[in-house]
Amino acid sequence: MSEKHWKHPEFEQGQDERPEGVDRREFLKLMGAALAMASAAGCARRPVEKIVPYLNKPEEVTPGVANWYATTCGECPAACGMLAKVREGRPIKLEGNPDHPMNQGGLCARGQASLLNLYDPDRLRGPVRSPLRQAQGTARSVVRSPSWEAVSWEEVDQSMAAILKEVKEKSGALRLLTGHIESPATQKVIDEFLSQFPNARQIVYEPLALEELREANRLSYGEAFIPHYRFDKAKLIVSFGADFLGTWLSPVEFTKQFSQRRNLHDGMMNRLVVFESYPTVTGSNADLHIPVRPGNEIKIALGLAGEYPMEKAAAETGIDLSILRRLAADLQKHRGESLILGGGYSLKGEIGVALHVAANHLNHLFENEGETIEFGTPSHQNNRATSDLKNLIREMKEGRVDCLLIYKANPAYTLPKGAGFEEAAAKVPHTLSFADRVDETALKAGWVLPDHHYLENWGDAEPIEGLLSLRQPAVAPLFNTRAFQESLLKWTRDQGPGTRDQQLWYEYLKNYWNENIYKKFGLTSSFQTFWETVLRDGIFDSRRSANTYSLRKFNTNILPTLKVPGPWSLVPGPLLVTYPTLPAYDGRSANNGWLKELPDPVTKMTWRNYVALAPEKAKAEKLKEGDIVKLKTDDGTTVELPIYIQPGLHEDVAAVPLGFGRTAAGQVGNNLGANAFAFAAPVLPVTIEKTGQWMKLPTTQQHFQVYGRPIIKETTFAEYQKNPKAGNEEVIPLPSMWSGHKYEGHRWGMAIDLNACTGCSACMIACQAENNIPVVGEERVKQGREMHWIRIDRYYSGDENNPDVTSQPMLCQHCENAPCETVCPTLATLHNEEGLNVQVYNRCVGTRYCSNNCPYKVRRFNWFEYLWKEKSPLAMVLNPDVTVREKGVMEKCTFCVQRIQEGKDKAKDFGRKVRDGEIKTACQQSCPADAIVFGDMNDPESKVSQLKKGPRGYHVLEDLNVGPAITYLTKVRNK
Amino acid sequence: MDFEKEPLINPAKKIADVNSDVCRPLESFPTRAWTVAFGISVSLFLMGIGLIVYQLKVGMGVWGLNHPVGWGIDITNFVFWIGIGHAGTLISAILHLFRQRWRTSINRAAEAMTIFAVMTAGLFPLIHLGRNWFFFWLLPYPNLRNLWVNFRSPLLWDVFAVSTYFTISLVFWYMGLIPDFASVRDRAKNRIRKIVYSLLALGWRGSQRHWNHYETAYLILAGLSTPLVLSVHSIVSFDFAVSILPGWHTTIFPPYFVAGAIFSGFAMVVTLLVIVRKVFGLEDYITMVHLENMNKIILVTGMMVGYAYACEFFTAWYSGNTYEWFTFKNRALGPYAWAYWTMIFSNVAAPQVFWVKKWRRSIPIMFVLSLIINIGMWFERFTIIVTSLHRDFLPVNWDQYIPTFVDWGYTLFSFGFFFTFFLIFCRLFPTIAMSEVKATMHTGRKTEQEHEFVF
Repeated sequence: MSEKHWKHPEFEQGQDERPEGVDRREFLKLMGAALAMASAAGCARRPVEKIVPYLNKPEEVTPGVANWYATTCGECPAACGMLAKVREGRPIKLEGNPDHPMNQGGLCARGQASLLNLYDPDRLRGPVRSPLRQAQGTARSVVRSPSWEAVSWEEVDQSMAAILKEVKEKSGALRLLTGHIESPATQKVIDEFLSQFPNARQIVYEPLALEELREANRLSYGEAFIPHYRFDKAKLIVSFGADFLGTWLSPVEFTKQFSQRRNLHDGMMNRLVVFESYPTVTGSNADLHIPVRPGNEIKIALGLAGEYPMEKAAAETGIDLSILRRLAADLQKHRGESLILGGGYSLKGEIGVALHVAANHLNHLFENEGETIEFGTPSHQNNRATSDLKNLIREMKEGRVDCLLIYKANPAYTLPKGAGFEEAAAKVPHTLSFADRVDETALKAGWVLPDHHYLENWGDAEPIEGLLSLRQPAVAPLFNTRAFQESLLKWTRDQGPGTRDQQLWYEYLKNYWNENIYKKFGLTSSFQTFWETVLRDGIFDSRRSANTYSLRKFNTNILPTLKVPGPWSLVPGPLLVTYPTLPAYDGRSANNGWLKELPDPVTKMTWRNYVALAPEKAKAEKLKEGDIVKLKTDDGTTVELPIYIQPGLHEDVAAVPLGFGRTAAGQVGNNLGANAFAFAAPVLPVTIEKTGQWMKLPTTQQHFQVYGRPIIKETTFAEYQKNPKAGNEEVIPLPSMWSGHKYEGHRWGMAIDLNACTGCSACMIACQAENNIPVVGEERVKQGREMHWIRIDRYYSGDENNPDVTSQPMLCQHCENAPCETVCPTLATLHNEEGLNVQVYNRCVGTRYCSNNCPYKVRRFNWFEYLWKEKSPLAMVLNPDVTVREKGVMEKCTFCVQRIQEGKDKAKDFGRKVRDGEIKTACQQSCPADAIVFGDMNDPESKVSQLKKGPRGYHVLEDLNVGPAITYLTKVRNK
Repeated sequence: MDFEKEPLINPAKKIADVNSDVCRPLESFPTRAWTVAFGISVSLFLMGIGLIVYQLKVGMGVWGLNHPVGWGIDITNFVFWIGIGHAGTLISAILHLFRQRWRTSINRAAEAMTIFAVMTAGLFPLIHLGRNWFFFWLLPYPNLRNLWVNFRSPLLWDVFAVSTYFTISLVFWYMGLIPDFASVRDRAKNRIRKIVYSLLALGWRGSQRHWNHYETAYLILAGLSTPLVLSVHSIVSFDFAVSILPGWHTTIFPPYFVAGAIFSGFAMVVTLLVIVRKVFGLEDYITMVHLENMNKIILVTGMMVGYAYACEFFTAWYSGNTYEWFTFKNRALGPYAWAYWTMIFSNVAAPQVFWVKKWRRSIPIMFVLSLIINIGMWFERFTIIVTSLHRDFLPVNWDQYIPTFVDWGYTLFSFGFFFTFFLIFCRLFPTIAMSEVKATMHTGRKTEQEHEFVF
């Protein structure tokens, strides 16, 4: 899959591997087979492989028919509901659960790509220990041993029993460092485990936590919590950097809500105003996007609230006063229907808290509390304090920690260089990691006890108070791993020799739900019925109407204590901002090829990180794209990264994405880019030094202008209200010599709403998973050989330094007069009777003429044999319904022809016609913004037909008269 | 006319000298120059075989081609060699029909060049396929799967055009060789040699009836080949003209490609003959008259090509088509401007020196110029193919094509392949049409019976 050759992972136990080479018996067999093949069919290319049917068919498994299991996404704390598609016992695709009230069928790129983590060849095959660390026992300073040895779970349990006994007896300190725990049952397991010990504590550490928001809410409302935001109710949204469409809190849910007010179905449209210092998905969707210097957001926020002179705020931030005045007036106008959000992950500390308080104040002033912000059902997606970590490290350094357990956290990677976690860890006698691989933190541990992938595990989640969802295994554990919960339960209760099964944890979870949910809500049916219903649906929504809860009172006394200006206002020169991007997030899935190759929705960069600079700044510094620079902060931390020029960035900002530069992620993700967590804080004064080196950037798009071509049609909301056809008035006469194709039955087509599309790129991963699209690797991306069938084209218009952005999903247009079809000498690409432009892989000889003649260049050529290099078990992720393409073959979007076939088969089984909306392509299904509509254009009532005829419908490059089957809807900006 | 004043062949030469002079390379041991040249050619040829094996194993990705640029140096080489292959048939067929007797000294070598150039060209469509092993799917052959080819595809037309051209050229060339093979056979002293050339000569005895049939057949073949000279490159140009890509989709392409092909073909003939006449001591037969005549054709076709460049550019602007006009601006000013200006300099500016008679008759000048023109014509194809592809309709797709060592390696290989065959030809075949040259030997002497020698 990637160009990197999969080596044998470390610590492989080898039980499933056949010995290398060919023995005598095998050799004779092969010789016989070769002779037989040669004599029977001289030109046969590969030996016959027999398909063996099930002798005893396992229950629930029908070959060729997928099973769907409702479960909960475990990739990020948002915990969206999802369905795992399982074919012949292995999960092959993840989709959002349509019944889940949060994500309603949508699922982000990372959520979908987390499937690939399940089959990651670099996962540990079983528990391992570092003998040296073990042998030194209680020694205060231990050197990490380079060699690891595989152990059995029985040995683990025996050793753990001894260690825990020792800790308990001497009243030693036991610390459990975890990431965000979305599961209430798991939390209870942890609490019970820790309660055995006299001195035990859990420390929650999430690198991208919203601590400032919680602290601000504590100051404002008296309680540290995160409310539930309702973007679907907001007509005016002002964000001071919170990337709610990309990485902030619960992006899929928010995108879903946001797009409902964006798609112009009722002719109305919200307005999004973003003040931000680093480039985000949210910022690129803003109607008004204003780059600000980090720390200056507070002046604007307080200016809008009347707590700071607006003229002064405008002058100090360099923003046009009229813009602020108009915004203030708009906020007045939209009382109770606006939503103001504070800063994102990067604005830490006092200034971050102050900004959130200011935002709370604005929401209070404009009466949004209880309207667009619901207090009754707070979000639990980021619900623990994280600052305890510093104390933990101090304790560890002082040698006061006897046993450290690390679960879902990688502090050795995500903490700044100066935090000293590594030295501290060396002073802990017993360190255990539950990581699925020997990651940066696990390298410091004596034991690595791999947890299941979440698709192999039981669990639950409560992302929003009262909204519970279950997690169930979609596959039996692939390796000799054990659930973290199972381990803790085993160590809590003396259960005799350990086993691999999850009986303890499963029973516990069931019991937990019985006691805490079933009984609490006094449901009438039996628990078993309830349990099975929730398992099937994936969710249990116990929320009452959100607003029955009383409003919280904003504490206005706190306002004068806010410190304005922020700490960096007085520092001249560039400020470093490190920020999470949608594909990389905090680097947890850094070994995931799909995500590594997913172009960042904002910068279109793949594989590695960079320093984003504003065009003016780069020009002033005489830097060009790809120049490698050295970033140096005052504490001496230096990082070398290439320059990427990003319009829309504030001049003073050098923005560096987080989540790269991992050193122990695995073969795919190691040593790509530099670790931006190494800096002491997310915002710091920085100096930029040239190194004189240059590198070609692995970007998938290098030109962003439309050059007056009919690619993007856009208008303003004011114009649209006057004339819905605004921006799309031009009628191009398209005479044709041909009579055109006749379509008796269906004619498939698609409509894509450019106004709804946020560019989040979930569709790209959905397509990649559905259609077995290979990952090609960084070098190939640089050569322009990425394989995505659907891509998100991003265009700029307007001001060069702060442009308006349009994201345009681009895939095969299934043209009526397809230029590719006429030029293929072997008829490998042709029009079918349902309007699909089909590609016959078996007939393709690879002239690439079709691609040359495709005006959209959506065809992808297999320059190499990509898939045979896949190291076990990666190939298990492949969708058996879709052919794996050979080298030398052209491929492209098929409109998910396998899904069309499935939908037609289903309709036929029921003896009816295919219903509109019944067949969904993978990209459409995954889209959190519902920007994509697929259907039958022969049916005049279908949604796609309506949109095609509608005033906003247009075709890209219509003047070529190729007759695309994809209709785009104009981009409307609420200027 | 010029050649009436100036003899075509050195008047000192007698008819008997022709056979001994032309056959000398066939009947003596190879010279050092030949051996060295052959060694280099075969090395490049073998390197190409290595590249093919490498490509078959690893995939088409070993080329520098990428997503917008699906064709690059592969098709550049294809069109370049097809173009080279134009001069031979033009010289032998069209000039034959026009009774241009000066062609007789050069037609054999030019035709051989055509055959080998078409062979070289034919390799590239096969090499550049993603799945080369299925190349035969491009042919309409009956098969159990009832699969047929797409007759709407210009690539298929190419298959027919190039294979037809190759067949006719080969037959035509072989036809012309028969009387000369007979002469070689008659001179042979070695038994094996005698048998081989006897077989090749197909029993030619030079009887009146033989000559009668020969002349008729030759005339018919000349008539058949003439339209092919025009059609092959027209059809090759359809690969581009029939597409919808700005910079490719142009009606001017067929004549423009034919003119370009003749231009490059003649330049290549000059390159080869300047060497051949020197190495094999044939200065008396391939004289300055021949070379000058070819240079005149180069001058004319060069200006035709120059006109085509200007016309294309004008049309792009005049059409008001955004894409088209951008493509041409991008050619002249974009990242591949160096290729465009190399082309303009080599094909339009450089040949203008041939206006001066002295320069047109100077061996060093014409040799260097013929090389420049060949480079220029190679870049013409490169410009057309790559600059049109690398920036087409959607700016998102724009990217650069950076050839790898494989792309360049194949280019060297094509020269190795070509010269391997050409050098073998020089050693085993009479490089000058002996029988035809003899017919022109008196023409320079202004005899009253001049017309008797006219076919």
